[in-house]
Amino acid sequence: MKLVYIKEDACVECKLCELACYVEHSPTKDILDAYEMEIRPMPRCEVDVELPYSASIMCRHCIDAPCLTACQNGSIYKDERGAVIVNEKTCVGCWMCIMMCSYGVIKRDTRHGYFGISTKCDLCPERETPACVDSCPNGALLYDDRG
Amino acid sequence: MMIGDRNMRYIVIGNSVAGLSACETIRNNDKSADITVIADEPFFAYSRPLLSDYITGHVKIEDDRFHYRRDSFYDDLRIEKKFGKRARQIVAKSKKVLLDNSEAVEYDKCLIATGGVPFVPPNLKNSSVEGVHFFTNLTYALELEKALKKAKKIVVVGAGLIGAKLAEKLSLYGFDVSIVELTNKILGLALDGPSSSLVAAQMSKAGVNVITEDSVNEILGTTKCEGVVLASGKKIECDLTIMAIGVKPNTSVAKESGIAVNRGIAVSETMQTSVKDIYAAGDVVELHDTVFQMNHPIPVIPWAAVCGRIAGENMSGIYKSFNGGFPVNSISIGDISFVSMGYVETPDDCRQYINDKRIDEGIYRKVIVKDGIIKGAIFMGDIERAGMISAMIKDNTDVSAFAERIVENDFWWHSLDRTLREKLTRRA
Repeated sequence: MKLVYIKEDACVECKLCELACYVEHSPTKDILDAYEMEIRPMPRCEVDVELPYSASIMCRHCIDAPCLTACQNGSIYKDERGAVIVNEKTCVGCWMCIMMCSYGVIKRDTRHGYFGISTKCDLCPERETPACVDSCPNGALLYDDRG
Repeated sequence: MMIGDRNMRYIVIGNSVAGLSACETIRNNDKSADITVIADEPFFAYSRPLLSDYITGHVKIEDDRFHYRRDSFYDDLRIEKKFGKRARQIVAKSKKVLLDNSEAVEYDKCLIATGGVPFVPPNLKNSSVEGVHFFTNLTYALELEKALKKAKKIVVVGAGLIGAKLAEKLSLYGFDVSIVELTNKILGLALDGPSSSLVAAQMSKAGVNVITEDSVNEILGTTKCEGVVLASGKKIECDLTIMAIGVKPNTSVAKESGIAVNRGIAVSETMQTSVKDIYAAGDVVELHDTVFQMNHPIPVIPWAAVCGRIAGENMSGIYKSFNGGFPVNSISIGDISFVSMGYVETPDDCRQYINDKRIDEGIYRKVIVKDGIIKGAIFMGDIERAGMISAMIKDNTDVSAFAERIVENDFWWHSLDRTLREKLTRRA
């Protein structure tokens, strides 16, 4: 399968990846619509900065994913691409996936009602290349075969 | 896999996390196997942490999110269900599981994944009156649901993960709830003093009467629960008493079958019991705890799933070993979510790093380190990076260079040195 590779030396902390991510995860995928939303989608990648270091970090889609194993109700699964996906319709926000994720890349979205939702990178199932990769102006994210 | 001209026969006793994780692995490795799941409860596998949300009506039995797997699970995996039947004994000599309806089922490999049963304090007086409840499975939850229709005042005994969450939900739902905890802090196995106080404050805010350093000695009432008497002599009126002191491994089948049981069923690194071809996994076993350096039950979903899979691999002929676990907890009470793992109180030979600068906002962090290796952590309020710590405990990562940075609120990849960051990226 393909994975987003993180090249920290090329990151210029512009955060366009975060913007592209939340637009891609909005209903119309239009930047103005997304901006106007009352509850904006959460970006699933996040730029981590401590200069001179910066990098956009997102799910590594582990082959043997501890988040998936830890899930209390089967809400995390692998799709046909091998991407680790959260079923947002059944997730109950118990955060056991967060407790076991080696990378700290699962976020809590508690803005949608009684149950929270674990939110993470889904490798943009509707795109050839994930939005973060396409948006990066400096080649800091590469979409390539897992090697 | 075939034995002569017939399929391998796998019997899994227990229809929850460990049992079904084993079934998934077995089916993946052995397409032709006959897999049977035996369980005493007559239900589709469900998510136990959601039982208190079931009680408050936030989740229904038929909801997808209440189920451990989706509806087509048993059909997709071609699992024969023997639900509503109790496995009484395994006869290793003739390789048969005897059920309490005198049925006998033959196996080639058998897994005991019978989970836990509620712990009942041995010297509790008058505990057999109506209105004394447990809360560890759906059968108990259905009984409690019925009893709650006629109840106003409730005493929950034991402020562990099950008791604390249930007490909070019941109070928010409108019941008059007291919780009685023997030790000096609620959620004592999962939290240290300051973090426990934060959760206690949330419980009080939800209207729960929190009583610590006391215990229930006696249930009052001739036929029905009318109240409880505490060790301190104090009396609390109540219509229902819910016992949530803890769970212990449900080892009755193992004991009936001559299988070695210590604090839980003893298993090898492949999850095999003392008897050949009989495996065990989940809350019923004792695991090697790499932090506490002892064998004891660690009844949490992540290890049940991991060990269920390892058992399934070995049962279907692929060697996999379990290298040990440690306690892990994730729970939300009121507005506060927390994750803790390993030690929560700092032993004398360890060093602790604490960040309590934002404790008034419900944010608190503590990490316990021994000789450069993390042995425990509490992440409260701000939990997103907690999994990095459970991975570091698992991997014995030397954190000497950045230990004090773990408790910084923005701890993430930038807090690690480049070599470790690159190792992280490669591991996937």
